[in-house]
Amino acid sequence: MSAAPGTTGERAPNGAGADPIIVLDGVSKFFAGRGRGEARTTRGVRAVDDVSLRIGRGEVFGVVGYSGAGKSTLVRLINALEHADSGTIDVDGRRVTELGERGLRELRANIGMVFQQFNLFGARTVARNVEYPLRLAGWPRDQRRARVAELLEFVGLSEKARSYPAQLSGGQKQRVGIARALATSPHILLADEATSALDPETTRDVLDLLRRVNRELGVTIVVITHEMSVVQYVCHRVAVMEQGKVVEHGDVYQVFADPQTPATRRFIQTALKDRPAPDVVARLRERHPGRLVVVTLPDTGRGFDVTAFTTGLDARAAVVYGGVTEVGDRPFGSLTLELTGPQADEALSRLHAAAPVVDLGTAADPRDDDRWVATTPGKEDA
Amino acid sequence: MIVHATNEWTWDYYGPLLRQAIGETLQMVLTALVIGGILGLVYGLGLYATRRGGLYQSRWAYGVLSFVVNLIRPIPFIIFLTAVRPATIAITGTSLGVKAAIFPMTVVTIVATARLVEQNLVSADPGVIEAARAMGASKVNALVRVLVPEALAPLILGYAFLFVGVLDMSAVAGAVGAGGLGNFAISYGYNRYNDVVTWVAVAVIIVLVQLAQMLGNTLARRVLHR
Repeated sequence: MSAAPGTTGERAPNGAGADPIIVLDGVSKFFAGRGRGEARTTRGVRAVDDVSLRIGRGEVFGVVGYSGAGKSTLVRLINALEHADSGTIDVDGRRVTELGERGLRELRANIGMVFQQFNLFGARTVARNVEYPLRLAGWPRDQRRARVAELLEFVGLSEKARSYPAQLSGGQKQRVGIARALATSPHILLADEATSALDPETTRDVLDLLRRVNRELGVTIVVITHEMSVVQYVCHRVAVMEQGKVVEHGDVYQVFADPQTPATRRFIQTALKDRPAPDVVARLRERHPGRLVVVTLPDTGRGFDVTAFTTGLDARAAVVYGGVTEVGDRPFGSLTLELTGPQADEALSRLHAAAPVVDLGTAADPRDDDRWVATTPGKEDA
Repeated sequence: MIVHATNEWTWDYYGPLLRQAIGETLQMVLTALVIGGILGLVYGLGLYATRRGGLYQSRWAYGVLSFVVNLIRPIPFIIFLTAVRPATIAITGTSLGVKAAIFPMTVVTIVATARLVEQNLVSADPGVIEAARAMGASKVNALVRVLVPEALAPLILGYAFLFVGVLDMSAVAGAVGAGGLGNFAISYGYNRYNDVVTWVAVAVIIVLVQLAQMLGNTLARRVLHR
C-alpha cells in the first residue's frame, strides 16, 4: 500500500519480492493416520496444504492461526525438522528440500529457533546452554567464552551465567533461549509461540528483545503465534493460516485495516477490542437511541479530528465506544460514534467521505455490523 | 578349632569366610553393574531411538530389540544361569565360580538396564532433542550429549534400584558354586542350622543395599539442578 505520511522509516522495506530469504513454493506436509492402507489417508492430517510464501530478508514475518492450523509444522519445514511431502523450500539460496543430513545440519546452524516451552537443557548452566551450539560449530574454547559473555550481555542476563534454568523466571528462560538461538549469528530466527507461556508483561519484554534482534542484528524473524497482538507489536508482514492453508497474507497494517477473510477478522477482533460486539451494540442502543456508526480511523498522519464532521451543522457526534492503538508503528483503531441532531445525516455523509464507516442504524431502525465475525470459543489455547 | 555348634558366631572361624564372601559378592555385583550398566545404556538408547516417533524409528529394529529383552527377563535367574552354560564356558572358560557367574549376571543386567533407560528417556522432555537438532546437532549428539544428561538423575536412581536385583542374582549364583554372601549363608548358615550366620549375611546385604541407595541418592541430587 502507499506509504502514508507520518509512517516511520524504521520498518524494514518489505515487499519480499526484492530479496526473499525464505521461499516456499507449493509446500504440503501430510501426517499419516494410524492404521494401514486407507486409514492412513482418511485418518491423516494435511497439516500444511499447498503453501507458497516469500519472506523478505530483514523482515519480521508473522504466521498466525489457531492451534492445529499447521503453523508450527510450517515453521519446522523451514529448518527441516519436518520434511515436506511436496513443493520446494529455499532458504538463503539453498534448496532445503534437496539437502541431506549433513547439509541440513549446516543449514540449521544458520537458523536459530526458540520454543514455547523454551527447551533449555536443565542439566546445564545458562552459560553452557548458550555455549552448546558453539561447541557443535567447533569454536575454540576462549572464543566460545567471549561469545557467551557477549550474548548474555545482549539479553541482559550476564549475572545469571552460572544459574541453572530451573532457577530462572519464564521471561529469563526465554531470553536464554534467544541468546542460545543467536549464538552462531544466524541470519534467520524462528520463534515458535515464543511468548505463549509468558504473562503479558514478560511477553512485552521478550517481544522488545525480538525487535532489537531484528533491528540491531538484522536477523530475519519468523514469528509463529496464535495472538494477533504479538503480530501487531512486532511483525511487518503476516500470513493467516487455517486448516493448513494460508488464507491471507500481506503487510500487517493492510491486513488489519482491510481483512479479507472471516478468520483474519476474528484474530483482529481478539487483538483490538475496539469494535463493539453484537451484545455490546445492543447495550449501546439502550443508552444511545441516536444513529450509531463505527468509524475506522484513516491513517492521515495528522490524527483524526472528530469535531470536523459536525462543525457548522446542527448535529452532535459523541464517542460511545472504541479504541486507538498502533499497528506496524502506525495509528490504528476505530471509534463508535452516536450521531444526533437534525443534521446528523449531513454529518454522516461527511464522515463517509473521510473514513470507512459502518452504519449500525438507530435504536428504532437497527442494522448489523456485517464486518463482525462471531468468534469460536475454546480454540484460543496453544 | 572347628565349630559345629548351632547358633554360634566365632570371628576366628567365620571372619575370614565372611570377608571372602563379601569380596566375591562385590566382585560379581560391581562387574555386572558396570559392564551391564554401560552396555544396557547403549541398548536402552537403541530401544528409545527406534521407538515410534524416535530419531531412528524402525518398527523392525525396535521389535527385535524389545523381543530379546522380553525373552531374557522373565526367565528365573537360576534357570537362565544353567541354560546359558555353553555360552558361559565359551566366553569365560569355565562354568564354575565367580567368573562364570558374572557372564549371565551381566547379560540379565544389560536387558534390565535397557528397559530402565528406555523408560526414563521416554519420560524425559523430547523438546531438548528438538532444540539440539534445530541447532544442527547430529542425532547421536542430541541423544548422548543432551538427552542422557537431562535424564541422568532418574537414571542414577534406577541404577541404585538395580543394585538390589543384581545382589539378588549374585546370591542365586552363589548357590551354584560362585561363592559370595549367598553361598556363605546357605553353606554355613542354612545347611548347618546356624541361624546366626544367616542373619549376619542378611545384615551385611542390608548394609550394602543401604549404602548403594545412599550413594545413588547423593549422586542424583548432585546432578539434579532444580
